[in-house]
Amino acid sequence: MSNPPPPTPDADSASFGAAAKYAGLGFQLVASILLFLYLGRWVDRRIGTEPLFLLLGVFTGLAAAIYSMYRSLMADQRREAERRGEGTR
Amino acid sequence: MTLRSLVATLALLVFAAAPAHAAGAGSACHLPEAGHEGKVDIITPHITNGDHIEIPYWKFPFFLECTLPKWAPLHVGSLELDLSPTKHVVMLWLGAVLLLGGMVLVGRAHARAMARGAAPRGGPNAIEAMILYIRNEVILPNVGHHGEGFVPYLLTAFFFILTLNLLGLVPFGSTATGNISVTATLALLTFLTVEVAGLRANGVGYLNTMFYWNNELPVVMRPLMFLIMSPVEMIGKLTKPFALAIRLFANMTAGHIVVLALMGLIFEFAGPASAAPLLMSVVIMVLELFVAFLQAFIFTLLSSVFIGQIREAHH
Repeated sequence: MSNPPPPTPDADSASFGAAAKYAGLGFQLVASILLFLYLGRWVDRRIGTEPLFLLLGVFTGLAAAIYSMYRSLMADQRREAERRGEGTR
Repeated sequence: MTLRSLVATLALLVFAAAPAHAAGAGSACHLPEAGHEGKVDIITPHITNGDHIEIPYWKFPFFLECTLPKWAPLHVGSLELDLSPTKHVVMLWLGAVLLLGGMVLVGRAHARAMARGAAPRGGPNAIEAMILYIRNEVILPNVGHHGEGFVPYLLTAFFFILTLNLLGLVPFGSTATGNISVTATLALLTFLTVEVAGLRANGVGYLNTMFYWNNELPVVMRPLMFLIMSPVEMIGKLTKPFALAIRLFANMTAGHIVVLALMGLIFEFAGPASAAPLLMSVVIMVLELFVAFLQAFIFTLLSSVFIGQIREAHH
């Protein structure tokens, strides 16, 4: 079999991939909030402080999920910048 | 043996062997029970799994109902595993056989054409164009450096999903990718590929994709952030393949429900007005043909993006 030509950077397919990878991010937000919500409810029932830790859990989960999203966005942006730097060299 | 006779043999095996086998099996296949009065649910039996398959038959109503064999369940500890074939399992086997036979033929045609010093013609050329597009434009740019090792898995996933999607659109067919167990298994394979790729590319740094430990934070905050962020990072790992499984399953099932509902409307309107749902079901069917390719493409694209993401996680 002969060697196919090396891949050429294609702006369209790269941006499509970049957009498509965030399609599943909503699930992560919901799952994080639910995890900390149930954790808070469990703590509340153990020590009888309803609904303090449940509410704290909702906001902790939301903040953590948003921070995680922010981190993955920043990492992707750095990767993209590196790739562009390699391309112009 | 020439290519033409190989194709003819394959086609004969697929289309002629099924009724021949049915005649031999005797009691397993029978004509469908005729004459349902009143309303009949045509949607649910078509989109769910079952222990019957329909095969083409030369007399009205042009299909036979075959009951699939029931195997004794396996016992693993306290777990009872029923591994009997179902409608979707038969479709998985058929898809695998078609893909294997078809791709071997394409490979041979390609090798023969290359030996002649010319490009292959017709079908093999079309398949080659698809393979090269997926490889060069989707997999390699997204997976990153030295991504050639991931090409076989991702191309297999693409063509397997595509074959299963298309088998759901042919008469007597059924959509195995419209079964959540099938899509979950495919997503699980991608999940394992992603994690193993991350482990191999990052070594000990792989732990950074599971646990969160930031040395720039004040000492008191580090364990706190570790406890809060680590579960979120792990959830992020699991939700990606979960979204893959749900997306493929929902897209394949939804389209079929729309087509079947429009077909139901044709009989419900019963007059000149039934031309409207007839036209719409044809249009949606063409759209389904596009969706079959699109969803296979999306699955492959996202799998390569996830592999690329974890391989460059240490940057």
